[in-house]
Amino acid sequence: MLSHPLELDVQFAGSDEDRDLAAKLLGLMRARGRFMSANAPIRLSLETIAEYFEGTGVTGAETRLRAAVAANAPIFAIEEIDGQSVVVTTRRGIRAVEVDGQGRHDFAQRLMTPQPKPERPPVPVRERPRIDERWSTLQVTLDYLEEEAAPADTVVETEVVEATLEVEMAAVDEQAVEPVAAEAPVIPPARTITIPVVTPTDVTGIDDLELAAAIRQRLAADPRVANFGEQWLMEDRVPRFSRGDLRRLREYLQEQEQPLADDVLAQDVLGVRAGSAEFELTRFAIDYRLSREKEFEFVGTTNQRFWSTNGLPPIGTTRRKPNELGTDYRFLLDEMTEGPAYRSVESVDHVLTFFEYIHGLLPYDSQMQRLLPAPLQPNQRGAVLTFETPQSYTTYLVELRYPTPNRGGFILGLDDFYTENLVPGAIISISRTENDGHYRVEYLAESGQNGRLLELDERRAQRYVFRPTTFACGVEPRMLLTEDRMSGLNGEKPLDEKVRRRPESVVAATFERIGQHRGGNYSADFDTLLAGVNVERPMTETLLRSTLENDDTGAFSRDPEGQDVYTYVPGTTP
Amino acid sequence: MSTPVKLNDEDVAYLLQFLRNTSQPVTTQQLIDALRRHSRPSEVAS
Repeated sequence: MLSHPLELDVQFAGSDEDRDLAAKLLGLMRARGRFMSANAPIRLSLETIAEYFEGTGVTGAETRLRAAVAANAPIFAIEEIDGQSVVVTTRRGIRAVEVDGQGRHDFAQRLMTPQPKPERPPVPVRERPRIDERWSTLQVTLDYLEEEAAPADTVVETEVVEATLEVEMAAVDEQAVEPVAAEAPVIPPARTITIPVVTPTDVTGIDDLELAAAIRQRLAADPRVANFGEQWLMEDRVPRFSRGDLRRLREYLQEQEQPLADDVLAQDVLGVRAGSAEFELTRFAIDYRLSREKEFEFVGTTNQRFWSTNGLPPIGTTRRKPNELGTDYRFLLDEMTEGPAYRSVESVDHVLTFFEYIHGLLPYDSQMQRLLPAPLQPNQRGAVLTFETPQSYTTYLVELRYPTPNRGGFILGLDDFYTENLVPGAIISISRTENDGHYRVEYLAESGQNGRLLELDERRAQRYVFRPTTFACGVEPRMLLTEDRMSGLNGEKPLDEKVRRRPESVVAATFERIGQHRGGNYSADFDTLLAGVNVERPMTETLLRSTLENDDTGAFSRDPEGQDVYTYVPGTTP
Repeated sequence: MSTPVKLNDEDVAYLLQFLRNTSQPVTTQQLIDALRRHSRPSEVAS
């Protein structure tokens, strides 16, 4: 049922019946055209309207409608369209005004026939500022300067004229009657412009290292230049990372639980394909931008640029803290050479001690320093390296801790390699590759041997025990801790931390454990002592010899009867 | 003992121009080579 409130503001004419029908008709047609504009013609066929009214109980509807329309001619009209009578009105209640359709400013017309573009006045040609060609090339500058220098007489004359002019001007100021001065030719004062002649530095006889230092000295502090390691780029060319990017990089590192190289971060986090045009630029951006963020730490080398963040699990042993190990190796600082030649040797051979074996580490001594790379960044604490063992087809992630002013350096993370392949006393060889972050570790593979070797039993309280062991690696016999040589260590507990801090105390304890007891004294040969002291703490031959020879208390002395044998007198422990 | 070499403003300006002309990071060795070429312009021209 169609209903519409009849709020007519029009006056209907005719009989009461016509007015009533006209009002209903207008309401009906307004309802029909309720979404049309106020002046738009609303058309409805007379036949349809009549049918509607007859449905509401009006008899003879068409005739009565025609009468009502005729009585209200200002409101309705009847048009003949295709032989059909159509009632026309508008929502305003007036007869539709015929609007000329031609030239209407409607949307369709505007869309199809846009106005022509306004003509712009021609832009005047702007004159390009050109640099004086004297600045463009050095040769032109020199030629110009030669031309300037040639007429030296002219310059002198100009100076003379200028001087004369000053004198004469002063005379005029004093109002002296000098008519000649007023007639003097006015010559503009000569100006001398000095063009600085800067020639490039002649670097012919300077070696690359010195030039690199000079470049670093001038460019590294320049804020316009971005530098990381041996790479350079203008700062504004380096892509920037949003806080979200940095967060994703940090979270990915934490998720992987190990330091990752910049190429891995570029591919896995930033989605840049290796080999694409922007890959190297993205790697550089990672290195340069992360080096400025406090939450990231660079732990790489020139060829393997590893990055770490807070919250990553430590690499290597958890038996001792890195700081404690650094203190253990403090003596290495005295044995280091000044100005080390990093990566100057191809390989280093090393005999594994018991201390190194149980902690999975290597000392960063002067030999190792000549093999491994220098810190790439200032204040770099450590570097993550990859140690490949071709004999077991395994690559280990190890951490090199660089020495600090009061702690020695060491390499951590070889626990598994040692326990799976080696025994204390084994000989290993570490050789470098073209990649300064990647090294090969090998041992002498030999047929299986059996022996009762020293171990640290950690099942209950820590104790040294000898257990039958089978090993298939080349060993240095003097460093092999067999029960025959070191039986005194069996069942011994590790020394107290306070005792083991002092090399003299460890040497004294070792004499008592493994030395031969002779009339209250203990004697032992140097090699046995060296293997024995390295059970408790790291000690080089140099340090042990120095401890034995430079003992002021007289506790240690060389045995004149034996070959490289020392004696310890208890009770005078240093 | 010889004093260490110092680059003058002309050298630095040239290096900066060299860096501006590249969109990829360059190595220190590339900068050294560029500096050597710059100090011998006549040889470069020939």
